[in-house]
Amino acid sequence: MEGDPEQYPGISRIMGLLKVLEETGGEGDLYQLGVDLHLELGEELQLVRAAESLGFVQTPGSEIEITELGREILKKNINGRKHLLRERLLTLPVFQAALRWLEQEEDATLPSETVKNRLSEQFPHEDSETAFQTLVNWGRYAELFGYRADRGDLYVDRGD
Amino acid sequence: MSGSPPGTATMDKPPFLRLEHVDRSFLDGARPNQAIRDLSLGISEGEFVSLVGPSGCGKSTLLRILQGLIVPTSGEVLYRDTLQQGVNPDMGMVFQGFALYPWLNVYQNVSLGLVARGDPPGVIDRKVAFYIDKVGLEGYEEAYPRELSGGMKQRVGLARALCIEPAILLMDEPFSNLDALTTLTLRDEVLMLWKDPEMSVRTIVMVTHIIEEAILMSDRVVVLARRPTHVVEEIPVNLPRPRDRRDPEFDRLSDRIFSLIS
Repeated sequence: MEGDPEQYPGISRIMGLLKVLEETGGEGDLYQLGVDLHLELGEELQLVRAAESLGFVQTPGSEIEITELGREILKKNINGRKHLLRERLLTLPVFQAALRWLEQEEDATLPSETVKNRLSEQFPHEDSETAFQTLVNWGRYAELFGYRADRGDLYVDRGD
Repeated sequence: MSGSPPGTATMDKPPFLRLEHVDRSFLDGARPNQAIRDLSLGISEGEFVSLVGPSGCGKSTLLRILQGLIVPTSGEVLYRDTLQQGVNPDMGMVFQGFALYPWLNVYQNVSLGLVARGDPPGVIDRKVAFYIDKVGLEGYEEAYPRELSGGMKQRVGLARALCIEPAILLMDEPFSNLDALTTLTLRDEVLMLWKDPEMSVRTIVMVTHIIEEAILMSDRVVVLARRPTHVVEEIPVNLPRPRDRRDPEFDRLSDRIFSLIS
């Protein structure tokens, strides 16, 4: 993966967003938050949507608020955060599908092109490149997936 | 600071790292240019000290003098009451620009200090795995720097510095190449590591030009002025942790430091 790693919302940025929300009383206006954080609208929405997909924030109307789960992950230590994120990732359809595809392989490994093709077939509304980068980066953080850049292989991280 | 929980600064203890009347001149053409003048500073074991000052005030030079990478023109650096000569092996450094080798993966970048020191491979494996886990990089061992976000790159820098199991961690504007949200997360994580009883590092000296960062993180803020560099004032930060930016005392300290710098 030679792409710009900042294309998708990284976990450190999501945690930073939660921290900002918690420090400002747990909720805020989406527009004002973007202004305060100097984020472009597209960038902010991508970040907020990512945090929402993980269950860490809710966005009723034009507001944003941190959820109990969002507060919980902030309280955890570095490895506690990874474990909670792993649990959350296993609830996301894209991660569930990728895990299923990999586990069907004898060595639990697939070339990145195969994964991207399947992503675009089964998740036509998602950008497969971004979805793949998210699989690699969140997956690595949560120790769910590994990725060998030299061979372009995605595999299930079994901790060995 | 009596009554502090273990691991926090106790300023009544004699400082275990000291700069005594340090001068440092560089040659500017043929003319000597005095960069640092008569600078004395003590750092106690367990303390988190920030060095704050305007850019170009020699903060980074000072950090390198502490580590022994730059020799003072006159004056002394004392570590555990002994004159420090050469590079102090008891210190790890975290750099502003991460300083990672692009052709080495995370595991190899983290292991650099141990390899250079000639530790046996079994020890290297064990320590690298331990510190990679501690900073939250487990799962990234075979990633190359180009695959990593800034936050992850700096975690590699942290793991590499911690891996040699130093007593003191020196950080040179460690968050200044990160976006604001990643910075918030990494500051928290550094504080978690500082308080982690499994870490060898008890003492941190950080250079920053962000006043808020210094107050959020440190026990004491050393305000520096430039040309030549000298200590303007040392300001203890006694706010409870985790610190709250909305605390009125936070504002007061911030204003005070700002007025000293500007």
